[in-house]
Amino acid sequence: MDSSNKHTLFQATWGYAESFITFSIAIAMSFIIQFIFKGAYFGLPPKPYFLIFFGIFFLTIVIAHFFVKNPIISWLSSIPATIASITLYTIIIIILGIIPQAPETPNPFLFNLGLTHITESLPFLVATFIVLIILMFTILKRITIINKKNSIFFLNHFGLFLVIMAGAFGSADKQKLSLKMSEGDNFNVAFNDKYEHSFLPFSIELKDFTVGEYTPELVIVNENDDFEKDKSGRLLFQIKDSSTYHIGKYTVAVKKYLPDAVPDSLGFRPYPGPGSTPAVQLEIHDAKTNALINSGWISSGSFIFGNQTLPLHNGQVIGLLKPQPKSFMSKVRIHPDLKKKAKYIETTIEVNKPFKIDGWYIYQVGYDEQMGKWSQYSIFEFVYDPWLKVIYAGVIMLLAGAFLLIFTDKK
Amino acid sequence: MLINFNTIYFLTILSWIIGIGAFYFPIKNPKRKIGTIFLYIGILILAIYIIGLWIDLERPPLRTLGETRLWYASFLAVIGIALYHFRKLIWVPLFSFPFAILFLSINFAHPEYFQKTLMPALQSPWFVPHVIVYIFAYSILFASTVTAFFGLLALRKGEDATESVKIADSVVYIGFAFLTCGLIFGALWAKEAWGNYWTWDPKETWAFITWLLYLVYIHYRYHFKQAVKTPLVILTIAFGILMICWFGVNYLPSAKNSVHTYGMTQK
Repeated sequence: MDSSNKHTLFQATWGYAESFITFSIAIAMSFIIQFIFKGAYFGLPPKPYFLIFFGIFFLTIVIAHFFVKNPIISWLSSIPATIASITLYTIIIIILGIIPQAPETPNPFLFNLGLTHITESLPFLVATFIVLIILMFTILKRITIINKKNSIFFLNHFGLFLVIMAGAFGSADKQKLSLKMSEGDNFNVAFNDKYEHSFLPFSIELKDFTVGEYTPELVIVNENDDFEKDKSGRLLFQIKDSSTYHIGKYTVAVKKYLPDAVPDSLGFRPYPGPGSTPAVQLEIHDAKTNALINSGWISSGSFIFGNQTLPLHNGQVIGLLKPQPKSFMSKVRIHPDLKKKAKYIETTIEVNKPFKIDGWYIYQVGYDEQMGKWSQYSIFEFVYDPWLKVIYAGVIMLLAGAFLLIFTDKK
Repeated sequence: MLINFNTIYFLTILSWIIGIGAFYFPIKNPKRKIGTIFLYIGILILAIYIIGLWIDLERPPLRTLGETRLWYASFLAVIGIALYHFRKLIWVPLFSFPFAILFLSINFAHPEYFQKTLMPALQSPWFVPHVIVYIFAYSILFASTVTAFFGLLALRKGEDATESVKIADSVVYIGFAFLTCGLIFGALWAKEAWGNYWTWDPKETWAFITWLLYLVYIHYRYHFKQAVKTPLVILTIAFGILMICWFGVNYLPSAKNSVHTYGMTQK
């Protein structure tokens, strides 16, 4: 049982009180230093310094574990120290979960304490380090014991250790570049968030960019945003040619649906080109009396034409929402070796389907949303993370540990 | 396709409903053999269907969300029955089979569900496992909280609550394992979709806080194997945080730019 209330504080074995006091002091001091530095951003040093730093850090812990016989060293792998470190770390993450991060006009006091950019603040760095130190000592303490129970312990703890470490290394070592391309462009450079360029080990050529859209939805609403609903409570109705919708007190009949249209003297006419908008010809009747309320065209609008609505009763209007993107994808040619122009890889990159080459991941991230499916460009992101495999190793260990946790009986 | 999904759906669900009935009301059948057999028959039918689908499509049926739901329905069923066999956790099938039935029913009611408006980032094979594993973890942890609540009530009346802690304990480890899987699946998905495993999105942050609190519980229990009240209190707090993570995040000031608040912008 807990012995901390029976002995004098900071004597013999350290318990919960000592653990919480020690770590709280460390974190309080980190807040003071953060405040003195007026909210400066703290992070890992750039490559290769962080490798040297962590090398020394690990070596110190290993030497301390094997060669220093001190009650404080054994305290660092004790449960009270573990619980105190996780609790204080959790408190910092809770603050992160409540205070909006990176606001446009931060409160000066919160900013100086680092609370508006917690993940780049000293208190976060210190709390993470405390967790890491304890995790390391705990792993070292049990690394030489080999049995089934310990293998689950090892998978969970060492897996977590790898994920945290490789994640931290990755964030310091990772390259993330982006590039806006028009059809026909062929580039081997991309830019980081400071607009500095870097060369890629391949070149990328955009052959074709397409956006697929869902059919637009119609909606009946007044200026106070009160929506008219149908029986099952739906507010949005996907357009289908020549179908009828029963929405509240209205019966809405679709006479004609044009996915790509432009306005003309008679209403709308088909026009498959930039600036076109989806348009629907409607007849709206009163659901009870069947009297005609209104008829005509509504449209979503485009970057050239405004949207069109039809007025109904009591200040309500019926309108068409802008179509939602269903998919957007780029057909590209990747030229792996700049010297051998003849060899290339043709592939399609879309959201959730990045392309991998030489340790680089190429992501489809965006396009000109104003222009919608007539967008003239496609935006890519290029990510290189040399620590990815280590992270995956940690993840596999954690998953295996979780799986064994389910199927192990705890007595 | 030789076999049609509707037939499979009815046969599987029928045997599972009979199975669960016979499993939890084992009249003249103390070893629950009849129930278990029917639960297995349902799993077998579903497994044969998936294999048939695989052969028929000439590719693994894991492409559409509807197809992944088939897998996870069978997954939940297998895990439920496995936990009964290996851990003697009789109530787990009571959670896992109804969820399996629910997912089969979604396929039955919305055969083309995946064709409805779904933003491109959500159109991923990770979508289903990420969400199912979380739903499963949440419902299991809910069970642990119910146990903790009754334990705390018993303590107030001056009764012994050791048994509540024991039950809650066996539950929390499973819930925690699923919570870990959900968190990891989410991170792997984020890597595929956005190039980052972790961006401290408010929902991610709160999911992580929930995970940390259950981590505190597990370590505390490991240290104080006889403790009763504190673990029950930690469990109750942890579930409160879980609720913030599940429903509350959208109302927090930090949630303005979360990728997890689709429901809020598209009213």
